[in-house]
Amino acid sequence: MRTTPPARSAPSSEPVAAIKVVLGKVSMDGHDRGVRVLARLLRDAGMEVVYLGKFLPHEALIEAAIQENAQVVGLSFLSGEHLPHTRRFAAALRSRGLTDVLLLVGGVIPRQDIPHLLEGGAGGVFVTGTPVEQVVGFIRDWVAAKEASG
Amino acid sequence: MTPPPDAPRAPDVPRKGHLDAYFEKPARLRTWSGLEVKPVYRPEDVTGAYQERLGDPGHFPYARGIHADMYRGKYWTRREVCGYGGPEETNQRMKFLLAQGASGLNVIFDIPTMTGMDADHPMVEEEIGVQGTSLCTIEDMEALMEGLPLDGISMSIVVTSHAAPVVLAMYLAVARRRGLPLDRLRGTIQNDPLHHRFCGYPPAYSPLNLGLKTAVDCLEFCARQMPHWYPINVNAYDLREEGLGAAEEIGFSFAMARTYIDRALERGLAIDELAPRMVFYCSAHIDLLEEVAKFRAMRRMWARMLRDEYGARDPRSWQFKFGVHTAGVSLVPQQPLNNIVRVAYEALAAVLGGAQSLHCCSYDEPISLPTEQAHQIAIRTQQILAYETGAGNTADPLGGSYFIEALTDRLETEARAILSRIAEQGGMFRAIETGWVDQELENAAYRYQQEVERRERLIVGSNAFIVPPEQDHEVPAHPRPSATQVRARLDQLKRFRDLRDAGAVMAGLRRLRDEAGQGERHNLLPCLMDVVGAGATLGEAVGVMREAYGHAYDPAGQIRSVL
Repeated sequence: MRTTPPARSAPSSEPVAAIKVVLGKVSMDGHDRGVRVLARLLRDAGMEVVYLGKFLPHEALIEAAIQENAQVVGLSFLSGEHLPHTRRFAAALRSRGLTDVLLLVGGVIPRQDIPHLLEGGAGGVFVTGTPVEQVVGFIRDWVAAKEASG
Repeated sequence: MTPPPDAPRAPDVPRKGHLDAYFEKPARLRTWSGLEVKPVYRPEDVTGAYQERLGDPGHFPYARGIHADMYRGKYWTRREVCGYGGPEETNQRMKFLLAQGASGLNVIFDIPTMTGMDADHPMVEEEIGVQGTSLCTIEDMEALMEGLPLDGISMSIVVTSHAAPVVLAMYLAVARRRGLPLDRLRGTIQNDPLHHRFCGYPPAYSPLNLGLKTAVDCLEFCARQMPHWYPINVNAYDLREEGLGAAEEIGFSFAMARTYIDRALERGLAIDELAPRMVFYCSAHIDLLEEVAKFRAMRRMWARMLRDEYGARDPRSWQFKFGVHTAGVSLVPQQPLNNIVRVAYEALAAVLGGAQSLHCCSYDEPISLPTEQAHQIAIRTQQILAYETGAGNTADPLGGSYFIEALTDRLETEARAILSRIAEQGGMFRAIETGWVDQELENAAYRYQQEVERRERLIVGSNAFIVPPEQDHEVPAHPRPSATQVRARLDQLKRFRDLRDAGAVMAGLRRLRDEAGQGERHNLLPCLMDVVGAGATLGEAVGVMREAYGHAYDPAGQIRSVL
């Protein structure tokens, strides 16, 4: 599930730069209720979030991740396109040298597909019905572990 | 998800011991949409004379039902949304559903088809047959309907956008090839372009000037030639799925319906010609009693709106006819078999509320397209409701309940206020164009999720009574189309293009572009039937109409016009 071992978040007394997250939908599926709500709730949790919209070419999202110096990129799916898109997107991330970016995938996803998504390059998978606080905790832990490891 | 063992897990319903559970009281004393609920309702909570406020079933204002005998005269239509891979696979599943006792069909298409793009468009390969069936040609429509009697079945076709008239034309062209008069066809096409736009498609993919024109074309054509066909199915359901409450579902969907009515009246149709052909597609969410009240309020508001504001004189214009889709958004993938129970309550609301047609979600709705077994359970849910519970034996069985009546009145008041707010902005078309609708949807969804996060709104298995994913039931998921299936589908389309009479197709498409340039009032359905019959694809017919209405042939800007 994780790409690096987790550690607890930094103590709240230390000033911490906001975690930067870029979210989007890369397929032609228009269902974006989940990702838009996620964007707002991640912002409420103190993260800096850009939701780029839907029908995105993969390149647009990757460019934005580079421009924003994002630590996290999130893809949202509802209609069954998650496997091919995630594999292709993760490969594009790697080919652009973005190996230290956490790729999250969320939405309507059969549990059977989660190992395939993780093998394909996703760093975490969150299915619909997951409270957002779990996503927040996962991102914070991942960033803290990355910072701790240097 | 599969959280790692050390991930923070949502705390469950807090309990110190078993007696906490024993003495537990409900914490949320509101309807699911957020309306406050009093401890008890009494006669003084309901005002107004019976005849004026409710009327008997089958009588104005139809709060109690549109027919005097309701389900004693005819059960609701039991149909399940169905669409997979290619037309052949979908045909097989539709036959399976009929064999299980479905009393109507309901076909849904993949995203390219819904948007009017062919399967061989360079952008869509990963979407082919994923969300519904792929359909590009009249040959596909013949395969979809193979062995199914078009004049002996009720068919609901889910295409909402400016692609709707082309898909409808394909269906009608198949009927014509089979020698069937169109006035014997029975069914519905969603044909609700405003919905297509608010429901997520960028403006380039959902040109509303074209969508509204062709929506009225379908309405006009069917109103005049197909007495058993409903050419507009206003999609209230998706508004609710986007996060709105029950009153908003009424207000927004009625505002959409008003847009279509106004356009059709401008075209010269009479109100009593068009209103009886309009139907609605509503949600049944998880709050059983609120949903029943909502359906009753919708019937009463529609009747009064059509009679008093639009001057309709034919009682059929006053009758609010609706199908129900149980709320997909109420289902969660955690402990997925629980969804069977949720769907059963929601289906009960539809029947107690007097629906004409019902789709029960399959329990795997938040996981994948329905497996065969999940589809079967959904049909059985309807059958248990119909044959075992007795819920349909009398019209409006909850009518007269002080609570139901007070809630019906309250929802009507709230919905009227929303309708006024939309009217002040110049109607639904304007409210979509300015982004107001989109913002309302997002705000509603955000508030809903905040309540979930704070556990003010408990969803069993999701934020309460959770079990670790590794202990959860794993259920089968319908697989996405394989690479082989996608290739076969593309080969099929290529073969069709190679074998058709290219001259006839081009002549037809030129004629279509000319006719589309002849103004709003020129109905394109007859021409579309000829053009798709001659072998034009969905993408070509849509592209040519787009050009005539000032848009690029291809919304993605990747392919050139065939003309």
